[in-house]
Amino acid sequence: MDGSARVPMTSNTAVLPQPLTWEQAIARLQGDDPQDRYYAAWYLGTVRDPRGVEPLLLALRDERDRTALGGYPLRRNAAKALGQIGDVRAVPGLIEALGCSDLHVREEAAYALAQLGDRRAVAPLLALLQSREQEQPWEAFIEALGQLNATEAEAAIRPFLSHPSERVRSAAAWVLYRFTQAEELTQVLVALLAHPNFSLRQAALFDLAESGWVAGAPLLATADVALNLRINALKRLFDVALQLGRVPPDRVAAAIIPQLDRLF
Amino acid sequence: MSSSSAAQVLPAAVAQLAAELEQATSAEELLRVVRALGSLGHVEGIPLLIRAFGFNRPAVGEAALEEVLRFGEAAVGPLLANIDGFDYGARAYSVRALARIGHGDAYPFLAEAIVADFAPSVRRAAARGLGQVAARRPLSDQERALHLLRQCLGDADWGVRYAAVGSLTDLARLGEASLRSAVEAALQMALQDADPLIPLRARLSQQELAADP
Repeated sequence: MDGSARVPMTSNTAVLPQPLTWEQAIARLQGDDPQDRYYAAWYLGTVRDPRGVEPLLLALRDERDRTALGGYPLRRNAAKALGQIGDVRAVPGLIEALGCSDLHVREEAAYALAQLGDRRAVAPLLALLQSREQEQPWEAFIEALGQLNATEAEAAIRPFLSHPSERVRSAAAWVLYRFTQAEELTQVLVALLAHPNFSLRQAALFDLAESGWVAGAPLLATADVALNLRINALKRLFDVALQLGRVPPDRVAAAIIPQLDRLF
Repeated sequence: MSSSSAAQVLPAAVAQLAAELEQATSAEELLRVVRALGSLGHVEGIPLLIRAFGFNRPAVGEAALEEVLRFGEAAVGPLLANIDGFDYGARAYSVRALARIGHGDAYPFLAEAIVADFAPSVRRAAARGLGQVAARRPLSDQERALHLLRQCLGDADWGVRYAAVGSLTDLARLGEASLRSAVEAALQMALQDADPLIPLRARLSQQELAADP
C-alpha cells in the first residue's frame, strides 16, 4: 500500500464524517468544487449505499479533477468507495480503471476488486502482473490475486519473492503461502517481522495474518508492534484460517486463543 | 517525573537507573534498564517501569509489564496512582497489569474504565480483569461486575466480548458460590455470538469450569 494514496482515508476515518443527506452527497459529487467532490466520493464509501454505484462509476471516469502531475484524485476515492460498497456492478468499471494512467487509481482499483471478490478480475490482474511494460502497484496486484484465491497466478507471483521492495516480497510470500503452504515462505515474513523499520514490521504482522499460517501465532503476539495491532492481527489470522478451512476450528482456536490471552 | 527532584528521595540504585532511563536512546538500552529495575526489586522503581509503558516501544512496554508483575500486589498502589490520562497505549498496559495482579483495590478503576474509556484496548483489558478483581470484593460488587460483564457480551467490539468471557470464567471460579449459576448462564450467551471466536473461547471456559466444580 502506497502511503500517499492512503493518507486521505486514514486522516478522515479519525474524525466522524460530516453528515450529508443522500441528495447533498450526490450534488457535491457532481458539483464543481474539487474538494467537495473528493469528500463526497469518500463519504459515499462510508455509507455503503448501493445507490452510490452509478454516480461513483461516473466519477471513476472523471476528467476534470487532475493534479499537476496528471493524477486523478477523484478517481482514486471513487475506486476505493466502490470497493467498500461491495456491489459487483462496479466490476467492469474497476477493471477498466486498472488501465488508468494514474498508478494510484490502478492501485485502488485492484484493492477494490479484491474486496468485491469477483473472479472476472483475475485475468486482467494476472495479465498486468505478467507484463512488465510500466511501473505498477505490484503489492496491490499480488494481494488482490491472493484475496481472489487466484492459484493460477502462482507462477507469475513467484518472481516477486526477489523484488527489491520488502513490501512486495512480503505480499508475494503471504499469497504464495496461502496457495502452497510451503514452509520456507514463512521465513520471508518472519525476517520482516524483526525489521528495524517500524512500518515494515507492521506490514509483516498483517501479511503473516493474511497468510493463514496458524503456527505463526506466537510471533504475532510477541512482535515489536503496538498492542492493539498485535491483537487485531491475531484476530485476522483466526478469521483467515477459519475461512481457508485447512485446519479444523478447534485446532485454530487452540493455537490462537492462548496467544490472544497473553495480550489482554 | 523530573529526575533531579525525584533523585533526592530515591534509593541510590534506583536514582542511578532513573538517570539511565532518561538518557537511553535505543530500545536495547531501555530494555536493559527496565530489566535492571525489576531485578533490583525496590518499589520506588515501579513508577519508572510504569513510565516505560508510554515509550511507544512495544517490546519495552511488554518487558516493563513483566517486571511490574514481579512486584505483585505491591505494584497496585503505584499503578493506580500513575495511570496515564493522555496516552491510551500506556494506560492499556497499566490496566493489563492491574488485571493480572487481580487485587480488589483495582475494582472501581476497572469498572469505570469499561463504561467510560474511549480506547478499545483499555476497555478490553479492563473487561478482562474485572472478574478476578471483583471476586476479591463484597457480593454487591460481584453482582455489579456480573452485570457489567453481561453488557460487555453485547459490545460492538469483539475484543471486549472476548475479554468478558475470560473474565466471567474468573468470576465463576473465584467469586461467591451463590453467583456461579448466574455466571454460567451468562457464558451460555457467549455461545450464541455470531463471531466464531467467541463461542470457541466460551467452550474452553466451560471445560475449565467443568474441571473445577
